[in-house]
Parts: sequence; C-alpha cells; structure tokens
Amino acid sequence: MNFISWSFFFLFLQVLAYRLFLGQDKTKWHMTFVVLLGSTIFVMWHVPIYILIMLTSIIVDYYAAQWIMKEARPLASKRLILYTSLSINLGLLIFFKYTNFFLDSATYLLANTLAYNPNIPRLELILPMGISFYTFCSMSYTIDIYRGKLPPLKRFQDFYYFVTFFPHLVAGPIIRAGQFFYQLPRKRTLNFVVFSEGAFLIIRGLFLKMVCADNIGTILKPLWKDEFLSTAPALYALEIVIMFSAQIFYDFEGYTSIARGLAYWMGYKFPINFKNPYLAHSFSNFWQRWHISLSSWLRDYVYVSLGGNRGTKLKIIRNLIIIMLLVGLWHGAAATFLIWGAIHGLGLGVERWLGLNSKLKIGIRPAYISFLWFLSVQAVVLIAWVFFRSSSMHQAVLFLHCFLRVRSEVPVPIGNINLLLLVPIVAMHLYGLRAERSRRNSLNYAHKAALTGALLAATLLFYGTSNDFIYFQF
Amino acid sequence: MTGRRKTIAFCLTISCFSFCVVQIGAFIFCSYSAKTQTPLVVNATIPAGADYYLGYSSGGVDHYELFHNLDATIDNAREAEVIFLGNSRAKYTFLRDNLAPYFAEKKMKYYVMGFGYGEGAQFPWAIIKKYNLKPKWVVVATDSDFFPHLSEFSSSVLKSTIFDAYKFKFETVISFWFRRVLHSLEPYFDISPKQTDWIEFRSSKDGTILVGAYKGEKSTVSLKISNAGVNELLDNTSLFQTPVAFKQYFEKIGAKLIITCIPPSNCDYAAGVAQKLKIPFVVPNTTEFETMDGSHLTTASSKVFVSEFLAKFDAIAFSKSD
Repeated sequence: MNFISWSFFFLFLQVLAYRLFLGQDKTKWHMTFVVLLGSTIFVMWHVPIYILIMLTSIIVDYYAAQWIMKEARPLASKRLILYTSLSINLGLLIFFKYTNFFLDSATYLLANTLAYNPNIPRLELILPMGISFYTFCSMSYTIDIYRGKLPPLKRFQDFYYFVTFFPHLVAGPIIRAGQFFYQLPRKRTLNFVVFSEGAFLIIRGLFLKMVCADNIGTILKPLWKDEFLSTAPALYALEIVIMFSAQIFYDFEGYTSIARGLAYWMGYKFPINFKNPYLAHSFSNFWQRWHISLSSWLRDYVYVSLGGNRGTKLKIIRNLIIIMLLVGLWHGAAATFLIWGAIHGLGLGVERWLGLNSKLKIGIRPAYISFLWFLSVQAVVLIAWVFFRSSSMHQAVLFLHCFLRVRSEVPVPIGNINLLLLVPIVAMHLYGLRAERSRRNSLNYAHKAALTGALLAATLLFYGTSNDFIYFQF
Repeated sequence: MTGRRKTIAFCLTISCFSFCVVQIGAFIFCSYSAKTQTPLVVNATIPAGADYYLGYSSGGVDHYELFHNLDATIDNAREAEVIFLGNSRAKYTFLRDNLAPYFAEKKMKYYVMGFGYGEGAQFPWAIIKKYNLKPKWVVVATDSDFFPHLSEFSSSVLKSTIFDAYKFKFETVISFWFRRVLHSLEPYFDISPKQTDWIEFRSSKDGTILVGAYKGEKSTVSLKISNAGVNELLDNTSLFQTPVAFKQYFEKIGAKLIITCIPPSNCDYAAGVAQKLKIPFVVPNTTEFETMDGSHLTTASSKVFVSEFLAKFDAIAFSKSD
C-alpha cells in the first residue's frame, strides 16, 4: 500500500478515528489491536500471501532471541542460533531480490567465457513490499539481543507490532528494536500539539513528494532515455542530473516525513533520515546526512563486525568499500547500483587515505582545500546519481558521454518555470546551514502552523500525477 | 481563554491565513497565466448509459476490466461475431455511432478491443485465449510493430490478480471523482503538462468508447501505401513470425481475419502483413483524414473511415459464400 493512495487514506482514517475517540492511551490492548489489524491489512494489500514471508522473519527472529537469552546456553550455541536466524532472513531477501540477478550474471558469464548459452529462465517473482527495510529492522533485534544490548520481548505481539508497524514498513526509516521498544509502554495522547506536529510532518512530506518529486519525475521521464541522451549536450545533462538529485531527495525525504508524521500521531517518534545531504563536506559526512538509518545500521552491524576503524589504513579502506558495495546491492540487484556503491566506497577510501574525512581538522586545514573537497564530493555524488538512475550500464555511459558534448541542436529540455522546483531544496539546505551554524534546530510552532497551511494549499494546486515512490522498488 | 486555548486558536488562525494567502494568490495568478488549465476531469462529459465505466483517466482501467472480466464485459464479447482489434487509434475510430447502425441491420454483434499505450496484438490475443472467445471475423487495425508488441503496462496487467484489478479501478475512480470536485472549486497548475491527455469511458456492452474530454492539437494525416515499402518489408521474414502464428490460431478457432490500417499508422506494414498472410486488406478510398492530436481521428473522420470500411467489409463478408 502506498501512502499516497485512496486505499491507505481510508484505512488510516479508520485507525486515526479510533485513536482520536477511543484509543487516546496508545498502550491499551484495544488500540494495539487496531494498529496491528491496520498494519496487517497494510501488508496484505500488496500480495496477501506475502504476509507469510514476513511472518517467517518475525517468528524466526522472535524465537531466536528467546533461545539466545536462555542463560544456560553456551556462547557457541547462541552464535549458531544467531547465524541461523540471519541466514533465514538474508536467504529470503536474497531469494526474492537477487535470484534473477544471479541467474542473469551466470548466463552472461557462461555465454561470454565458455560460449555456452544455458537458457536459464528468469523467475517471475514479485518483490515483497518493503522486504529490504523490515528484514533489517527484524535482524537488528536478534543481533542486539545476542550482543546483550536489549532484553528480549516477553510478548510475541509486541515484536509483530514493531516489525509490521505500517508507518516504517515500506520505505523506512529503518527503525531498530532499541529505538522502538522503549516507546511501547509510554502513554502518548493525541492532543493538539502532537496533532499539529504530525500534521506538519505529513503535509510537508506530501508537498515534497506530490509537488516536487512527482513533477520533476514527469519532466525527467522522457529525458532519461537513450534517444535523448545520445544527442544531449553537457549543459542539459548537468541540468537533468541536478534535477534528479533533487527528485530523489524530495521523494525519499517526503516519504520519511509522512512516515514520521503518521508515527507521531500513533504515539511514536521516528528518527530523522536526512539532514541536508547536499551540504556534506566529505563522503563520510554525506553518509551521516543521507539515508542515515541505513548507513548507521550498516556501520553498527556490519562495519564494526568487519573491524571498523581498527587496523591498518588499508584494512579500513577495504571495509569502507565493502560497506558501500553492500549499500549499492541493498538498493537493487543491478550493476548500476553496484557501481554507484563502488563510487561512494572509493570516495570514502580516497578521503580516508588523504585524511580529509576528519571534521576536527577543518579548522586546521586551509579553507580552500576544504572548499575544493566539498565541491569534489558534491560533483562525485552527482555523477554517482547517473548510475543510480540509469536503467542499464549502457544508458549510464551514454549519459556520461553527454558531458563531452558541447553543442547540440536539441531543444531546451527543462523550462525555466520547472527550475522553480529546485527552490524548496535550496531553501531547505540554506535553512539547514543556518540552523547548523547557529545550533538552532527547529522551527517554532507559529512557523510550522504557517508552513502547514501554505504547503497544503500548494499541494492541492500544484501536485503531479505520478505517485510511485522511488524507494518502493527497494 | 486559557493560554493553551490561545495557542491552539493562534496556530489555527495562522494556518488558515497562510492557506488562504496561497489560494488567493493562485486565483489572482490564474486569471493572468496561460499555465493554468482546468483539468480534463472537471470538463469530462459523463455518459448516461449504465454500461459505461471509466476506461482511462491517468491510467487504463479498461485493460484490467477486460482481462479480469470485472463487469461481465467478456460475457458480451463472447457473443460477438466480429471483434475489432488495434491500438488506441482503433478505439477512437470504431465508435458505437459508426458501427451500431450497420451491425443492427445485419443482426450481428460486435466488440471493440482496441487498447491504449500503443498496444499491440499480444494483449487482446491473451484475452481472447483466456476466455476462449470464438468470433467469426476479426478485424485487425495494424500498426508497425503491432504483432509482437506488448506494452509495459499490459505486461503488468497480464501478471496481475483480480485483487490488483479491483485496487487499480478503485484508486482511479476515486481519484477521478475527487479531482473533479476539487478542481471545480479551485484551479490547478500543471507544472509538467502533457501534450495530449484524455478521459475516456468504455462500454462493457460493445467495447466502444465515449471520449469524456480530450486535449490535443488538430492536424491532417494521410493514408499512404507505397509498393516499394511493402516489397522491402516482405523480404524480412522475421517480421512475419508472430502474424503467422496469429493467423493460425484464428483459423483454428474458425475465425476469418481482415487487416486494416488507420492513419497515421504505417500502412506499408499492414499491407505487407495482409499480402504475406493472404488475407483481405481493407482500407477506405479516402486518403485525407483529420486527427484530434496528430494520432487519433476526429469523430467526423472516423465516421468517413468506418462507413467506407464497412462497405468493403460487407462486400467481403456477405457477397461471397460467407
């Protein structure tokens, strides 16, 4: 189910009505039941039978955690339980997400190395909605239990509630067990302050998604095609990739904002997922600002396990590249995503090698070096988006070729009025910069009230028609 | 008034004020800007007949409707003796007003299975096979690449379940009515306007459409066939693999094929397919037609096309032993 759909609107309206009139105390069993029911319908709306896949993950992780915590169990046995649980979760993820990628790669390799065409048919698989997100949420619980960071939950329904909780289910943010469980027993009433804060987040998200992302998406759709890219000059290519970098930010930040608003109405606080990413002064800083929940998840559960920042410089760089390749692969089973991840991995590696990652040295380092590195980082991030958006390597190369073309007869692809769609992202980043410098981090309630009204009006006037979230496919 | 209530009242006032400022600004801008257009949903004419459903409004409901037989549409197609296949050009040409008088006189039932998204033969063929339809005549309005083509949208429809079909229909219909009401009250600024757009209603009785609203620029197109072009196509045997299989299927179920071509489609290909498969190729004598948008015939032109087509069809279907 998509947040921007009538089916979700009607489903959520019922849950909200219940919360407003009968479920003011969110810890009451009947309110929990209504949210559980709503979440289950939300999951089953996509492909009903896929609830079983999610249930498998939930059951495996819940009982794995219970078994791990049995005191008498030796460490080796606990580790075996953890690995079994992780294998089942990752097995499901790999099967649904990467089987066809592996089959295609095998066919390609056999055909090109042994001149043998095995004719392996592709599997007609529909990717379970949000599998990349909820698998990571669910796994975080078992790992944290194993590491002794969390006590296991006593009730199965609480774990089911956490994994299926509809605001974060489809496209994050990736909530960790530790970020959610402490909020379960807290009573949170839906008063005016909570309502208006939630409404602000939801309407902000709707504006970013429906007005900014959707309209840019419609503009870019005919342009990001081989026919156009084979003749477009450098300036237009630059314009297009800048527009895309704005679109993906609006799209994902819009979704996150709606998710945070919905969760807030339900009595939960979700962490932020974006923090002015295009202000990043280094690659490591970029990943502290972009899809924060994914990068911090991988940092804490994979990077640290690989050795993290311990060891030689070379080992650290290797770890960084591995992590970024995983980030690429997490986004999709395609060579383009791997290249996107590899570019960021190499960027992080080079940065680490040159010692440009450290924020502490900013004051010591000459300002022009910091500024040049900031420009380089943003340029590489922009180039990397070309691989992220392109449907194939061929298309990505075609796009990069545009940067070598100075003149062309192609008519101007993006009108001046459409460039106005970049105003919100510029404004958000400028505001973000000001807030970071002055350490003043939030709008006051009067600002938020004014913005809520204005953004709602703008959404009703300027919304675009396409409404698929880019991150739904992941 | 307590402090808390004051805050609530203040916030609501500010929200309403900023909402109104943007709205009033939009109304003022609206009266000066050419960018503002009333969305098609507002002006769309809703057909009176109970058999009409919303066929297209930012998404093709008709694909789902027919493939999953949502309103018993296929039950009507099952009774049809003549089925018209083609892309959206066929839909906009074979209209009820053009077909119904002729077929009523002949006491025959017909069904139009043209589909948007530049659809080819694969999708309607899949429907015919799924429901085991057995028409006597199949009129195929052929465009270049018609036979092997399956649009991305149809490909997803073919994989969909009936649950998906109901979900899609539900979303499209509610959106249509919501936008119709909303924009009859306030303007809409189309930041990325399409060159052409339309709202269409489709009859579950005979598959014909009623255009609720349309946006596009009129132009004149010609129906041209070049012998050199046809001969060149005939040399390419790979082009005819799907048409041959298509013909064999319909011969097996006892249906006869007729190929036609609606301008501005590539009629060399249509003529080539007809020649290769040895099936009648029927096009009107008139060569100049008017389109609503450079692609679909106007109602007047479609009338001319169909009347001339039916005269020739009549000669083939009824003057011989058939």
